[in-house]
Amino acid sequence: MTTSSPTQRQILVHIGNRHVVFGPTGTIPQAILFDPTTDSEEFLRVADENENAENQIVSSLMVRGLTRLPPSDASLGADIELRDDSEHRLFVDIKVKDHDPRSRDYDQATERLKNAASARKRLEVWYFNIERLKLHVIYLEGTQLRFEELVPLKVWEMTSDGIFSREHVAEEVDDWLKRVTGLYDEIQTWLSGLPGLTCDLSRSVTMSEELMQKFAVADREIPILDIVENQQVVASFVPRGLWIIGAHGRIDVITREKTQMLIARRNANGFDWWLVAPTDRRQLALFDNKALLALVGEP
Amino acid sequence: MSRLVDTQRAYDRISQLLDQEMRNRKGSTTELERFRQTLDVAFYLLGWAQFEYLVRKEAEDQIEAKAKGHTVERHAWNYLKANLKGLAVRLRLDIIFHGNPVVRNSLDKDYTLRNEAAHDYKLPKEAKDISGWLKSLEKLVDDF
Repeated sequence: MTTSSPTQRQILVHIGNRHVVFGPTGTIPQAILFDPTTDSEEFLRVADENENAENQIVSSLMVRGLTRLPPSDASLGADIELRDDSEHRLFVDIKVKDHDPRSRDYDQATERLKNAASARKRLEVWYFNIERLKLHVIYLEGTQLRFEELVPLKVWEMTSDGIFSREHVAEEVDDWLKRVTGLYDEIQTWLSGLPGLTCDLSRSVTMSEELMQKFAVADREIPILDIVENQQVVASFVPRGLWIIGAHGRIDVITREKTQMLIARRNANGFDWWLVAPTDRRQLALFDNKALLALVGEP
Repeated sequence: MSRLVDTQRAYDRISQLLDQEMRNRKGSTTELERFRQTLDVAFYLLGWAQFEYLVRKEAEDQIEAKAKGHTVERHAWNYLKANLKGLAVRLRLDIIFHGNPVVRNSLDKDYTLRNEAAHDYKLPKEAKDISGWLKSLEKLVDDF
């Protein structure tokens, strides 16, 4: 590993309670050089992930294959210094934001890079977007200003139950999609004997829950089920969320008269769907063929 | 009955209008979902603002009543009464829910989430059912 190529680096940092490995995107898939079992350092859990984020990142940052040193030249204002096996040195100025760098940030970075270059030092400015987990590297190649975006290759959190990783979140999202489409299949079967009612799955909502953003799991499109009669939608099933208190997912059923919550609860074999009474959230009724027909106004 | 009831009713009505737009396929689902998220955060913060006001008033009433007592503690209560303005919400919650630590702890956690929501406009999962959550606040106020 050399200090010269931002597109080949893998970087581990702590952001809030998470360990995040950033690396290049759009290149040949490469092995992840950090491992939760060996690279999970113990650190104090924080309540607010944004608080003190910059100090946390600076103190935890590691680049595989490069040695970290305290900056040897204070005049550059860099947070860390990295050295490769050939003794090449790279200074890094770390910025932490909850958004991507803006034009003003690029202007300031350019100024810093030019000053460092005139002092014959290699400096890079690293912008961590902790909201969307991205790392923007700004550097000079000769006199040419360059930008690279590194993405999270792996995200995990140490919990009292062990390692909770991005894969767990992605699996739960997949499972939610499967459960929602499974419910829709069942509804279509229940309605199949009723002339005049058809199901339409052409619409969708974007699922982008906080846990997905925290673990850099891509947004997903979740289908809406519309039950149509005489070209009018008599009921829409709109998935609202997977991670809610007291249930394993919620779909809102919107009819002409009202909106009712449908929640998933675990049973011995999997999950059941329950309709929540609008007047008293504690009253639940099992969602079955009969309940569906009552909702769409069929006898 | 407090203003929270009106807030809950207003939320239910506006939320229902958005739902009907969704059912009638008027406009993009993405935009309607964004409206809903904005509506939810706005009513979550409004609900908290109204609840805070009621907590402030209730704490003041309790402090005033205790300051009128005849024990030595009344001097401390009088001191508190003279410095009410600076009394933080969490301390007011301590006074009101002293006898109910479960509710007190739960509100303490909620208040932290509320402070985060006021900055990042993200709704905690504890409050995703805004209507039910507003109702639960109203119940707490009834039990003061």
